[in-house]
Amino acid sequence: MLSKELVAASAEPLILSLLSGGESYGYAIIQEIKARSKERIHWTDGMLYPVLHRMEAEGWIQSRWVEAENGRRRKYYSIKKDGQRALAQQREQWLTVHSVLAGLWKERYV
Amino acid sequence: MFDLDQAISDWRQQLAAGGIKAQDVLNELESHLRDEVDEQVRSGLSQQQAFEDAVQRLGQASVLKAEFRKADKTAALRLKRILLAGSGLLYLATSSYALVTHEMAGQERVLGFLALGFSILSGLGLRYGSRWVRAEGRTRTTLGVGGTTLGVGWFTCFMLLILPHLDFTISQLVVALLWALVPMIASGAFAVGLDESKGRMLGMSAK
Repeated sequence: MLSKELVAASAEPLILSLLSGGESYGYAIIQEIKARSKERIHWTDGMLYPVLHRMEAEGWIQSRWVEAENGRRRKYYSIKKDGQRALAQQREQWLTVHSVLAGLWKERYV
Repeated sequence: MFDLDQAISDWRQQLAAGGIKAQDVLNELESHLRDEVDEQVRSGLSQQQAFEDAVQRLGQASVLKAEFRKADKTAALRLKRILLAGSGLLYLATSSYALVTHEMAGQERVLGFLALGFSILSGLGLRYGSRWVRAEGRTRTTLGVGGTTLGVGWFTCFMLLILPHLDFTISQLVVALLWALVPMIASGAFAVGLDESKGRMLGMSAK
């Protein structure tokens, strides 16, 4: 399991990356992250929605209500241009951290 | 006999009583809850167990409310940015229009546009330059409030103490006002920049 701090810090880039592949809704986003992380990233379900709303307020994503075939309404989120830009910036930052750590660990453990 | 619709209705009322009143948010949380209940029932839980489990996973109203408040703050900050940019553009457009259409000597017009240029440069420079101010907390607030007070104080002095003693034509008055506004715009932009970059020094940043 990842630490709380790392889970919180990685929420935005994870959501942006997922939405860059197509629109999705809260429950599906949680399930997708859970599956991709093999359940190592655990989000408190309710915490996702304030993050989505904050990202929408930032102008990174937008939402629309869609009615499913079974009549249930779901709020779908999709990424906007500003979100793509934010994702590019965050990607660069995470890759920087990753490459520094990878370099340090290679020197230490190989 | 457990009634899921009634249980969800009661749960919505509890959330509303806990401070989450927006229908859009409640509908979204309900949609999530129903998906989760369906999933849990498929995996073998009773509807009641699944509902109780899903409610617990969603978290308490007070915690959710605090998190949603952060989103509201972000929206307010964005609106503030849009209003500030709009006011700045309006100021530049009306001032430029006045300088172009008003009958005045060429030298006065050049001086007027120079004042506008100084306003833009000092405003942008201090707004973005303030990001490098390392002070936090009370010192940061003092810098922002102090700067704004100096800017507003200067403009008030100019209007009340200096201007009445000057015998300007209308075009000279326009140019003088544009120059007098430069320090106020610069100090305001500095305060806005300080406010927006608050807390940034505590975190990490990458180029």
